[in-house]
Amino acid sequence: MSDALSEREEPTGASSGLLANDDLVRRIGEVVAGLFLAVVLGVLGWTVFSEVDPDLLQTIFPRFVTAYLLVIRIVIVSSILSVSAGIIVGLARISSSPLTSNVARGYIEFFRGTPLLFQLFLIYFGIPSLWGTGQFPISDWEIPAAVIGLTLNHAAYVGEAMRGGINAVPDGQMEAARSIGMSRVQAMREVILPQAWRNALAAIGNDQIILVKDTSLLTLISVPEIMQVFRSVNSATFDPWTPLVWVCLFYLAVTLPMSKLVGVLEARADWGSDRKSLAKRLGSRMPGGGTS
Amino acid sequence: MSKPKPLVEFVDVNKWFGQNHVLKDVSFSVDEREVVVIIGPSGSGKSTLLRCTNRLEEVQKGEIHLDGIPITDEDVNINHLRQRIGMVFQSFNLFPHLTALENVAAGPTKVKGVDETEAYEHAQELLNRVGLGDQGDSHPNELSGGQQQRVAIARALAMEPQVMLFDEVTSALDPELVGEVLDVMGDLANEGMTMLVVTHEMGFAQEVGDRIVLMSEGEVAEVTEADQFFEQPRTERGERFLSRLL
Repeated sequence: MSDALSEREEPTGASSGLLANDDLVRRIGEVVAGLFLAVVLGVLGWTVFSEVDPDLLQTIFPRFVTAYLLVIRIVIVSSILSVSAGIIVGLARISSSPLTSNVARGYIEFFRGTPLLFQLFLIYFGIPSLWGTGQFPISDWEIPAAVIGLTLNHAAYVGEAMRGGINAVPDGQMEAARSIGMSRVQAMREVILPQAWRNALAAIGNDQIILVKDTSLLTLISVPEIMQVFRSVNSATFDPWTPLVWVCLFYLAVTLPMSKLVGVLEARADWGSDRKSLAKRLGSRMPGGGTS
Repeated sequence: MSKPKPLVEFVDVNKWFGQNHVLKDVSFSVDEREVVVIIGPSGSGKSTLLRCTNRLEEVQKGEIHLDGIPITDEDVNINHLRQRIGMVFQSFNLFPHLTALENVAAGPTKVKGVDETEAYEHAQELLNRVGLGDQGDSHPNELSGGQQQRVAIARALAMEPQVMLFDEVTSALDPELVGEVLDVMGDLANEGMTMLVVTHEMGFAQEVGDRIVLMSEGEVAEVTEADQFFEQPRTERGERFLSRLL
């Protein structure tokens, strides 16, 4: 009995109030999270069960696959182009020449400051109209217009991320590189950019995932992508839930591998963590492990 | 005995940061194989002078010569000249994305265009020389401050410079790591390297230094043989500086 008493005394004596008890807070968190999960799964399960038409689900699947493959292609090309262009924009932004840095700044302000949809309309409707009716030489302009729009828009965000990444590299790195005789350009390439890339990687990855979701706007310039298939199915069947299931899954089928890829790139850029120290760090976080 | 020729010469060097006159008519020279230690209270312009010596800072008036070449001349190819001037920094400034060995080999391979195999062999020799032969594969963040600073010295030596500049290289180190870095610098001095050292380590200044340059408020207060300076400085400012150390 005295044991039980002293055990009860200790936590209340040592802690000041409910929130100081870490175990209790953790428990409350788990209960809330569990309830949340149950409600979401319940509502979602019930809706899918009652609203989704399994036959239609099967019928429309091939159309979503076609749209998905197109989205993947647009994303890959726009990603490569926007990251490459963004690095150049970032470098221009920090140029010591006022002309160069201000041009880059204007570029960034314009493409960040106006909606992507406006930019897509500008390219898709605006440019061909300069030729006069029926004179524009490029057929299927919506695909190039989509790639150009996504690239120009996201190059602005990547450029800002790179600028931040470059500025976060300590001045001493440039000085050390110069002191062994590197030119400014060499020091940038060999010393500053590899470090800036690591600093900016998380922000760039984040932006590229937003790029994937931005492809949903392309439905408004007639690109036969995922939302386009939804709109077409929905207007024919008046069934929103069945095509929406595919919409959700197919977007995740682009973004999840992409965040995985970003994670791999980040791990690779995390220099100085050889296998030994990595194992050490993981081990200490594993339950039951890292007893030493 | 022929007089050793001056390798680095400061001639009436003046520098301003805005309104602030930080170097005032600084003149002295460093002979070949000589170790000159610059001391003085903080803010006296020691580090600025060192940074002007490889044009990390620009001099506004006066000249600095290396081996007769005016470093401060606008037309000089500073990238070429810097290869002949090694510099070690207070905060190491190793390249964190490269291993110790790659840090040391970076200059020779990227700047001088030395063959990779040769450069890496030489880099390994230099790491051996600073006592880090077995740490070649480590990244800077896996090394202690003292080890990092020794890699930084090896990196500067890899360019085979004519003169080495040391800018308060032990100030950022834990006290127990200072010794290993000073030892490497002492060895270097014994091997005949010309050195210009800014430091607060008076023991090192006395033991390894040939001459002491005392700076005060941007001016050279006195230039004296090391042994004599610590015995009996020539100026009143020298006496005051030493008395404050006790």
